[in-house]
Amino acid sequence: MLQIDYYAYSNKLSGTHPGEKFLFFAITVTLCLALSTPATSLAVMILTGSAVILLARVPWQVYLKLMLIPGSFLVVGVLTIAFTFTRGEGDFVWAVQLGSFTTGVTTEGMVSAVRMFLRSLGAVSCLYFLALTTPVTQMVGILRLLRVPSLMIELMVLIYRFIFILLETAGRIYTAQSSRLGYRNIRTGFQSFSRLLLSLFVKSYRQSQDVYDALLSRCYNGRLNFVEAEYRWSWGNLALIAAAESVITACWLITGGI
Amino acid sequence: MTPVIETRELTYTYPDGTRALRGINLKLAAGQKIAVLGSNGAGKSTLFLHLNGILRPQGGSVLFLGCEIGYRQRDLLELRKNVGIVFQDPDSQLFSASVLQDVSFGPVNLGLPHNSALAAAKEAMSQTGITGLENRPTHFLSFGQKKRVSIAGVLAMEPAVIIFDEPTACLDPGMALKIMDLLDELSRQGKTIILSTHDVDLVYGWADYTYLLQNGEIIGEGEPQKVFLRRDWLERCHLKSPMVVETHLELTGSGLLPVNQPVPRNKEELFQNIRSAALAFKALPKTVRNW
Repeated sequence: MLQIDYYAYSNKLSGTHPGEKFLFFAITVTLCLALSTPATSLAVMILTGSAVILLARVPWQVYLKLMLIPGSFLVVGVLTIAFTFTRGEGDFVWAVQLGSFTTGVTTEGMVSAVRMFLRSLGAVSCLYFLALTTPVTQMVGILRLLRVPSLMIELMVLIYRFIFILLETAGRIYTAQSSRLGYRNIRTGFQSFSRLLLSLFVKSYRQSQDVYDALLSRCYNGRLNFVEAEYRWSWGNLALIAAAESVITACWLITGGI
Repeated sequence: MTPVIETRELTYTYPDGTRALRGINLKLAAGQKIAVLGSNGAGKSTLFLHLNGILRPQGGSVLFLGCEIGYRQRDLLELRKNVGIVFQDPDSQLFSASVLQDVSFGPVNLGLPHNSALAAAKEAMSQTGITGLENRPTHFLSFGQKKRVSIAGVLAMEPAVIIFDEPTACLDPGMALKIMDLLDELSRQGKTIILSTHDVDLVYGWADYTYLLQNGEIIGEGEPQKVFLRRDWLERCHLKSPMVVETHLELTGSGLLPVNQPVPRNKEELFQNIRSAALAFKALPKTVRNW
């Protein structure tokens, strides 16, 4: 998660208009789910993948590793689709007889498993595009534009900021504990960990009081108001998005859409 | 002249029974550089939280420009517009991961329209030298950078009085010097600057007026050249006397400087005194010098 956060800020597309990135994500994921043929799914994956690797300059090793995480879950998931369990006859590629039942892999089952796999992975690659190119601070602006209730946005702003404070504090406590052999064996490890949790809780409580005081001193009135950074729409990028979406639609038409 | 901020017999006790303030009387003159010195737990932060209405005094009162401050929402907004606090720990002040969002929080709350708020935020960021950090998330910033972002967040509201709670704590000497330069610059712009610290050397050449706070009470106040000569006060506050004062006392005590020489206001004045004493010594006839 922290790795994704790091690339979200440091990628080469971080300065482009968040709206463009969100538009590309939204249209692509819709097409991927609506026009589901293996060809469109593959096109989606290739397009989002090359956008992340070539345009955003996220190292391909990192991207591959990230794709493998949901990928491996998907493989396990679609295996159950590939297998058919039937009493009658079937077009089995490979089968095992279990009494009066036949279980095995049919051509049909395999095709639908592959379709499902590609479609899901395609949608995941769209999400990764958004996550790897658009930092949370820009997502806040998009959500505001989409008229998401401000309570939700404010919670998101605060939680996101506090995740890092909490991690940093926990890291510091952990270092302090291990420098005094707090984790030398399982017994002390459990003890130290429980103390870490306790002091993390107490510290977070205090910090939340301090943050509230600090907000008050800057005229906090119950709403977190702020100005967003301004970005410019680029015609070039919009044309690129249109071209990419046309490619996906074309793939669908060629491989027997409508 | 009416003091910009005045407190009268301010008392405050925390719910756990800690008597943080025991009758504080301050008169802060507008446009001055004021230092509040005291050891840890002396009550500095509690005092500061009273000066812009975060804490409400249990006894006594706080006056802004001669008028007792009110605690209705409208009065508090007006007060906090004029009196800003930069907190000691930037992590407790920065609420957003976006530098621009955080810095623009104050100006938007003041009701400025989008463009003016953006302009105010940018101006504050250029004053604190963090313009390049605009698009960096706060959790990737160093401590010094976070500190400057938190200062920018207060500057953007353009308050007439800015309170700095230990602005140089945990900073390296270089960064501390930069922050002090910024405070000087703000003072030249006519703002009243109040800071708390225990770094006596830092404050000695800088402050116009000094308060010594110990155990919730003011045990001494005045210009630094007077306050830092009072060994009894300093001892009670667990403070040492500044190097400049110690050197001056040593030199006058051992006869190398005239006894009636006034205490130098800063390091430069002390060096100047030493140089002129040396010149005067060299100008003496050789026989006298050798004697």
